[in-house]
Amino acid sequence: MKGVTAALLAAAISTGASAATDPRTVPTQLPPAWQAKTRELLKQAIEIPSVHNRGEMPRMAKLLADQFRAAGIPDSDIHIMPYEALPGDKTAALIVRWRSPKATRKPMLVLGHMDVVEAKREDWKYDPFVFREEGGYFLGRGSSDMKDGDVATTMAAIKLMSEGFKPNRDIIFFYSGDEETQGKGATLASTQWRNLTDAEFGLNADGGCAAYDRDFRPLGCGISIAEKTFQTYFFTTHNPGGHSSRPRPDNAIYDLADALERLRAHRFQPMLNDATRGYFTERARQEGNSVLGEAMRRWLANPNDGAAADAIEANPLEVGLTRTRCVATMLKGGHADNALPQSAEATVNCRIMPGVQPKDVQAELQQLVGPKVEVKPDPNYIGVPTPPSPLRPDVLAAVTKAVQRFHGPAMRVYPVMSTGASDGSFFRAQGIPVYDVDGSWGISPEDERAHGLDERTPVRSMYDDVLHWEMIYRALAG
Amino acid sequence: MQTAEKTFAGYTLTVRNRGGHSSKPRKDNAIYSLAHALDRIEAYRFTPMLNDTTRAYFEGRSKIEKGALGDAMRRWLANPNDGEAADFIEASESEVGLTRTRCVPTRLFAGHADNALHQLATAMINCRIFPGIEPNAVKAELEKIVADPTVVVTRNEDNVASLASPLRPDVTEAYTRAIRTLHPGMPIFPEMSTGASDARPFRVAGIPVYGVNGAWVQVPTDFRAHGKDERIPVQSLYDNVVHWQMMLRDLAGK
Repeated sequence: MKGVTAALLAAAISTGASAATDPRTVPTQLPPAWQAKTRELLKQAIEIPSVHNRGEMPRMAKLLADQFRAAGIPDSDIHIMPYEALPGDKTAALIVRWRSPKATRKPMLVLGHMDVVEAKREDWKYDPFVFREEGGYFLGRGSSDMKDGDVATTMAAIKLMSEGFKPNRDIIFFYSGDEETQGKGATLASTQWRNLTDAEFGLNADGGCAAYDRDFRPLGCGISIAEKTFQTYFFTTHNPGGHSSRPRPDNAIYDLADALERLRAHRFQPMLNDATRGYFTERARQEGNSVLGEAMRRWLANPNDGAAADAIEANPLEVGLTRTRCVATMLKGGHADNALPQSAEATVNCRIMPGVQPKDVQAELQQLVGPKVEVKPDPNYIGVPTPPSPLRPDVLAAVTKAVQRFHGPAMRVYPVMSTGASDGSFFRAQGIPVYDVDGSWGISPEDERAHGLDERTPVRSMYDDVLHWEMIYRALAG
Repeated sequence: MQTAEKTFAGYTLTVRNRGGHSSKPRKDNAIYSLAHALDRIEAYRFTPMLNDTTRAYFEGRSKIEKGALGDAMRRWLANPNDGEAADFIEASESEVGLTRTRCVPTRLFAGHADNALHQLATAMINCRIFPGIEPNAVKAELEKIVADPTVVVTRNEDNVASLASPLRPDVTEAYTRAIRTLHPGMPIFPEMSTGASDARPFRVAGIPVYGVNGAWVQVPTDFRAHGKDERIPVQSLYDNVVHWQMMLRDLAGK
């Protein structure tokens, strides 16, 4: 899952009315020859529909492996690891080790995922699996989540290799094949495959840190050091059914609709933790005396001020940061158009605050919907709460330097909690701290289309992200 | 004896949304809009109606029905504007669907991934429309009930309104004789069927059709068609062979 951009309205007050430059129109600093290579690799990556169950992951892994091989990584350091994610989903992960000739420090891990969320041709304006460049954007499923990150982390390494750069620690690349469904690849990589992946810390390319608002003001770059726990629940109703010409007073679909109406109105208890306290402290400073800024200050002063937390949560930039959130994402019900439904089911996706147990959320949901509706967690994935990773000064310095090269000092860099879950959680759970530090960016909220329709990434974001990772490799492994 | 049937009409409620990442729920949500529309349909009652077939049916039924249900039938026949009486009749398990148009959701579909805000949510609404009412008028009524322009109502097919068949003395006599041979004293009256059958296109094309099967069941425990554990009494099947033998002889023999 794409980590959601942390929004820091830096310098919003001091910028005043002066027109800011559209960041999409600023020329990229990536040399034209590398632009062409980057564009071609992104095109090939997007046109492999690496959705679960389509059997395309080995092809995607081979595409990336071929780049490393061509740049000089020996076959003995390239591992395509086949595994099964969802039942029947034969997927694969890629692990590549770029060896240091004289390693002086423990390896560094670079994480990404190769799979993408399903996209349906009939829902999109264009074929989601045909690469397009249009109006300063690259379009296609995976263009922002996260084939752009796959391409940037790979291309940056290849570029450095071609320039003769020798890392002073091994850099391990791990690209999973089921981050959007199971996270089994990351589970295996952080446990059974640990001999290939063990590292001092990890840098996750899943989640661009930076963003601009609609007026092109820099919103800041949030480095995710903690993430909410992902848990899907199923709401199920049952009924004897019958002939639809003779409706019964009770009805599985109506019972489910009632439960969904309650879910729509329900709000979980607001909570603060170290990551979000730091984030909101900075946000409050930047927001100044705006209504939002005042609400943040009130909440920080009194964590029991639910009205203040509600006002923050209602802001599109802050959604999901003040509490556990659950939302209905899928429905199915009935077996024939002319028969009363015998069952109906809603899929409810929750993002749970770190430290809260998924079974407690289940109990709260069950109490909310009442005894007519059965609430069960998805048996294929039981979320495990993970601890925040302590922020490393070297990582913070490297990311700040890279981000500010492309966006100037107004793009401030701060720790945040991610509302999306990612492969990072499995490594955190196994003792490897992970930081989400990708350099891609977009206009918030227009370009936040990961998992949604007409996904896209600015052309310049893709190209500069190659240089961003190049700087990070140099800073942390050079 | 079935001489009329309600019009079968399917409608689809469709709600679209931009979607997005489920970790950042949007204020607008197609599933919630759809759930709200379904709750409104659940609460809604179409206007009660009588026609010649159902009037004859309820006159016949009210003669044998004692108690509160029979009283409600008599009150409604005396005053077709007595909505409370019609509601009482409609609430009876044996009379469901006979007093008005009924619509019920039968299927739901939404979403493309558990971790993505859905872009599309749909519900199938199955309606059984009182004979003579145009399905397009019910579409307009559904739009009014839902009262949300983001919930789009479309028809699933292009059925026209069903018609009633005029009673024929020869069919009525043959049916009455067959039924009373097997079930002496059984009252016989015309009936409007709430289910759709193949009779509809024939009636629309000008061939009158009469529902005169001889199967029998216990009401309402044996009403299980399209549902779970469908069944028929053994004796009912055997009797029905004899019933049809009499009907065929009377109407096509000498």
